[in-house]
Amino acid sequence: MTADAFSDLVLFAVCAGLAWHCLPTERGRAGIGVACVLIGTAAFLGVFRFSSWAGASEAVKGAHQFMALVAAVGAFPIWAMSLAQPDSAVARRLAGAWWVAFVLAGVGVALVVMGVKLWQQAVPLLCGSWIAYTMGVQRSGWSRWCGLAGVLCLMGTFAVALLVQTPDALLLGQLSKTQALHYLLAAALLGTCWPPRSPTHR
Amino acid sequence: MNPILYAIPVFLLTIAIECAWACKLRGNQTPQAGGGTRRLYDFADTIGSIQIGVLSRIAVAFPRLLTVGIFFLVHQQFAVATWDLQSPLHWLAALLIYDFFYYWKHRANHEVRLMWAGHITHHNSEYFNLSTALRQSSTTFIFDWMFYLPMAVMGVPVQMFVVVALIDLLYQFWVHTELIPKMGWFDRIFASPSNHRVHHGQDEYCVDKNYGGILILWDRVFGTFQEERDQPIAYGVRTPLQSFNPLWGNFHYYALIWQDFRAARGWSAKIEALFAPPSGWLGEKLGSFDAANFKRHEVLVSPGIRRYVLVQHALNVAGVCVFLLFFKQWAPWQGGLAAAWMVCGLVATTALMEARRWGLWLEVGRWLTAPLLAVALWGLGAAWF
Repeated sequence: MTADAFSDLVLFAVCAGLAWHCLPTERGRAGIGVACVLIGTAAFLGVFRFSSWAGASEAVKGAHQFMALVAAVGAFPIWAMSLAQPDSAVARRLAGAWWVAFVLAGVGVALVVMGVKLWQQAVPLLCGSWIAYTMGVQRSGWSRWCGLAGVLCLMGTFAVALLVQTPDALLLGQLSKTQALHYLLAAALLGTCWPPRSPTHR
Repeated sequence: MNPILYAIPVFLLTIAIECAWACKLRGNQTPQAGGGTRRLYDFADTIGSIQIGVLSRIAVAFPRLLTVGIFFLVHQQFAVATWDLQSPLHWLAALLIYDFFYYWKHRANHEVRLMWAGHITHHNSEYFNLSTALRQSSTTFIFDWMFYLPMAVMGVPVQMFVVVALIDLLYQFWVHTELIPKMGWFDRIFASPSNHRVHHGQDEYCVDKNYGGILILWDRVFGTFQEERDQPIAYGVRTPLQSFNPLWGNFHYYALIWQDFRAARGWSAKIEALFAPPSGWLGEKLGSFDAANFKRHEVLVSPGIRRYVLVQHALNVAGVCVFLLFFKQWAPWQGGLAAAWMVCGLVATTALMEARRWGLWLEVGRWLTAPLLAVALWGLGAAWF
């Protein structure tokens, strides 16, 4: 297994853990769960894409890129919405979260394949700003600090994605761009989603 | 050439055969929910259903390239495998996969308000016969294509996708009938008339069941299968349309969603107005069904109007064939003009059946402008503008 594949495995593990924790109905955090399932699926495919297994890399390349696009335009908005309004149907109900993510992903994929490439960057960036605002305004105590640390990691993800142009560049002398993206995103998910918050039951 | 053009005469012929069969075998009568009998075929309902089908053919002619185009672009950029157009096994696999995604598309069409707004058009008829099959929505194309994008990623070629989609669609025509009884083992594997009667029912046990297109196995796997019971089913929806107007039939639920969307306070409530199930998250909006007091939307059409409507209806069907035949040769403005003229015809015909006075004026106006349309389409051509 390559270092890039391992970083995707770490992201997958974080997503799987969060999804496992959030998806059960009684937890009322289905939105986070759906976002993690989408990002986790992309990460799972990434493990194969970046692995050194013969044939696997090429076979899943398209599927990984597609799911990464779906995660960017479908999962990020659900993630942000679920944190901003944890009592909303999108945050609490599996069907609500799933169908909103589905339609947003469909529209996003259509726009990107038709040439509006900016959409793939703009949506996560806007959602990231929304998550940052939510963490700053809605949370308190250690949960707030945890969230802000997650936001910092998320901003780091965007910085790496936008500023590092060469895939071979090493960050901090150790990490490739791919690895940095995956580790930072995993940390961002943990920081913003992990403190288990019980939504008010309606 | 558009394959639907070939299918239209077959559809109309089979509807005529079913209608004749219904009249000969049962005197056009069948037991109805709550006691008594009702007609199998109703003149206004049949005309209304076919007119809605004609409207859908006109409407989907415009964005077809866009939706198939998105599939093509996704295939081009993300396809993971190459499928063999010569292999029967690949075709079978593509049909199976399409049917799987069709199940989920159909289920979403019933469980998400924004999608139900389009699909409700197909369910508004309170009768269940082959003409109901043609009662297709003009707006479901807005979301339908999204469900099949994974097929593009899997590498299914566009040609294969278009053909299996057509096979799946055409298969579902024959399941819209009350004349074919239960079919034993076939009902347990495939979508059949018995299974689909349940799907169109508004009785308590029928709601949101049997979504399968060709295979009913998907419903068994995902827990939405329901076997038909030995009691008459009341067809239609809980909030009846009470109109034969094809435009209102297509857009009335969007109007309701728009009202709810405007009334909702805050973005999360607005999202709920769009994405909640039509019956509410907990089924609270479904309401109860009272079979004994169920009354169909029926209008008395005088023999004279009936004859006129029948002639106009035949012209509308012929018109849509001409439209589909020439559509690609026309400039967009010509296509739009022809579509608008035909939609006026569909609306006017159904308005005449409902004895609405404005229908008469619309019909007169339409025929007065017919020569202008003919000149615009064939006389002057695009250079005129």
